Amino acid sequence: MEEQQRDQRALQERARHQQALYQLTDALTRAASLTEVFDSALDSVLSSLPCDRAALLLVNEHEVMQFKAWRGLSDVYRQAAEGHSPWKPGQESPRLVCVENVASTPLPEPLRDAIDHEGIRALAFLPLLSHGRLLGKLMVSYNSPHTFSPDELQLAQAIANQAAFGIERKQGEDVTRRLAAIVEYSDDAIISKDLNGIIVSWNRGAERLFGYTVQEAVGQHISLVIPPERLGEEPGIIEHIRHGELVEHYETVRRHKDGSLLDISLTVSPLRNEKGEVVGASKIARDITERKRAERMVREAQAQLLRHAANLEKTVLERTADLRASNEQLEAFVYSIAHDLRGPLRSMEGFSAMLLEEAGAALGEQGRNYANRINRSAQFMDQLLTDLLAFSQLNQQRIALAPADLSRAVQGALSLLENEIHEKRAQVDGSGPWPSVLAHPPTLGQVLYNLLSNALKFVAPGVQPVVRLRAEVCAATNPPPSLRKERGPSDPDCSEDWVRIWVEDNGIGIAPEHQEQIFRLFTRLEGEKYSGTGIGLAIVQKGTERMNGRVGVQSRPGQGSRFWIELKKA
Amino acid sequence: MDENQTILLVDDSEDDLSLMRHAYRAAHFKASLQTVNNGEQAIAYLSGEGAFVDRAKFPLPTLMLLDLNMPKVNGFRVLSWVRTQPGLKRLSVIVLTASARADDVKQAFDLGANSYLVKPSTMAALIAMICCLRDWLEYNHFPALEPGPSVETPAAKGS
Repeated sequence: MEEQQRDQRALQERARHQQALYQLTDALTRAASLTEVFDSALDSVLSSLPCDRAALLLVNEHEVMQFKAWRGLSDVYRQAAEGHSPWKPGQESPRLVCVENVASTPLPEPLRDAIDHEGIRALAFLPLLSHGRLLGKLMVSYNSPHTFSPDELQLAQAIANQAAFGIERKQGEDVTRRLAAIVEYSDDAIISKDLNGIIVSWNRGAERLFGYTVQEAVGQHISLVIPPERLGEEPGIIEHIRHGELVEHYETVRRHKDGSLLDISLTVSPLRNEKGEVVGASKIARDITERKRAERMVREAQAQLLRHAANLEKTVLERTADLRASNEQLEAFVYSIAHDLRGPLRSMEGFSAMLLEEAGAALGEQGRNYANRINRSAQFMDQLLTDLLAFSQLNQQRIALAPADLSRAVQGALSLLENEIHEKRAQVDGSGPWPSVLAHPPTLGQVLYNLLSNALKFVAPGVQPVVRLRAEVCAATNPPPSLRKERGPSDPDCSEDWVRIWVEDNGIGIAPEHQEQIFRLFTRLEGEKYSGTGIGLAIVQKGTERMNGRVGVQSRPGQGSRFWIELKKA
Repeated sequence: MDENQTILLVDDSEDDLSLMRHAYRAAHFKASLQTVNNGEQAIAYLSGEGAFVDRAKFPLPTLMLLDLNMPKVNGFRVLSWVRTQPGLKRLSVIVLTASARADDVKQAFDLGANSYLVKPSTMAALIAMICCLRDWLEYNHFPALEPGPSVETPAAKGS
């Protein structure tokens, strides 16, 4: 009888267990959220097991057990118990763990305290498993030591399994919903179509990009958005998809509902059924109209830049040619002037000379005087022309600098003035030593000739000219007083790279206020007493400048002049 | 010095011709001086054509003094024509011009000038130069010219 009663109770117990499981299954099917899943599981455990409290914990992304739902557990306990797990992380097929009497079970100290303090005397941990993977645990606890019956444990595990299944499904739904939302709200147009090209899905991005609503698009052929001239592309894309191949970043043109054309970048990937067969394609279309426009603008800007560069080059070439032409014209002009002016001058000089020679006696003294003046004027004007030509040539001609022998240049200038030196019984010392300088020999000769010629010319009447030519290498450590004045000691130019050539005379000298202007063209300070064209020192300055050098003078009236030019040492 | 020698002076400037004649006299030049005013006349003279048919009156010159800057047929064209004429190719030609342009000097020698003189600016210098020329003529040996038919070349035609 007793046995019969026991069997009866057991049967009732099983029926209750079955009932609880059915209820749980029903609740889980209807659960709208994970929280409802948790609550259903805890309700089921508390109503079908003789336990006092229960909790559900899930493993988070850091592999830590976290309380998700609980009944009858204090904050203090949960804080102490959170993170504790009877299973090692990644443990294969974890099994349920029962603690029938907490007092006789070894536990870590803080956890034991928390359990003691909470009044828990027995515990069971039921793993929540999905395909052998640990999702979390269901915890049931008792306020007094408890002996777990096999039926009880079986039921507890069955509830845990149902809960795990419910959790997994809900999580899956969440992921799906999230993915669907991502697809739906993506800025890119995401479309799926079957292998016949019929549109199956159409997200908001597609609505925005192509202008068709989902109702208008789904069920239509994809050629809805393909411009007629590009219809040929579709079979090729489908062919790739049939072979399970991905078409990536395919740049093409598609058509908006309003007929406008869109530059897009397509990525098409095959869609497979659960057997792995390709059943369609998903297509991501990105509007690259802006990018294409930017690219076109960059290309146009580049082309424009190239055109500008070409124009600029052309302009420079033209200007250079113009300049060269005008330079040549100027040169031709100067020569033709020289030629045309010289002819009449030759006639004036020649005929006045002939007049004096052939009819001088008949002219009388006055007549001869006039004829002589005509003759001298013609000669002077010829000299003027010669000097002007030389000066203009200095400006025009190309001057290539090379190491030049200074002693040869000095000797050359002296020999040109040989007659004058002889006539004036001048004493000229140009013995050197002479370093080499960077110069253009013909120009250097011209410069030295004019300096020497001046030194010989501008002496007081009856004075024998004494001229000294010498070279001095500029030394940074001990510059002559004149250099010190013109250049500070920090001047990088004042180095041994420069050679200063002095032409010192015992002539009439130049007042300081005139020393600047004497290098100007046509400056003649002593026009009354000394003949000259006023071009000589202009030639000296221009010629030296053309050789990248400079000129200067130190003088006092009545105390002679010291002209200098500076050239780079060779 | 051969008194039968002739010098042909080609210059378009009447003044320069007069000055040259004076200097010529002053230098006591014995060779006869023939003058023409332009390039066409120079070619006609050397070819013995037109007014210059009479070789007794207008003998072939030993030396031609040739100005460069002349209207129409200039000195360069006369010079290049001369060098293409079989009978004249060894004629001594001295350029006598106002131009000292390096380019002109180069071109004159390229075309076969025997010398290049720039007209001096004073009578004294001109006489000195003509004296030099006179002495040079005396010392110089000239090849015999082989008179032959003149050859027409485009260089001598037109302006």
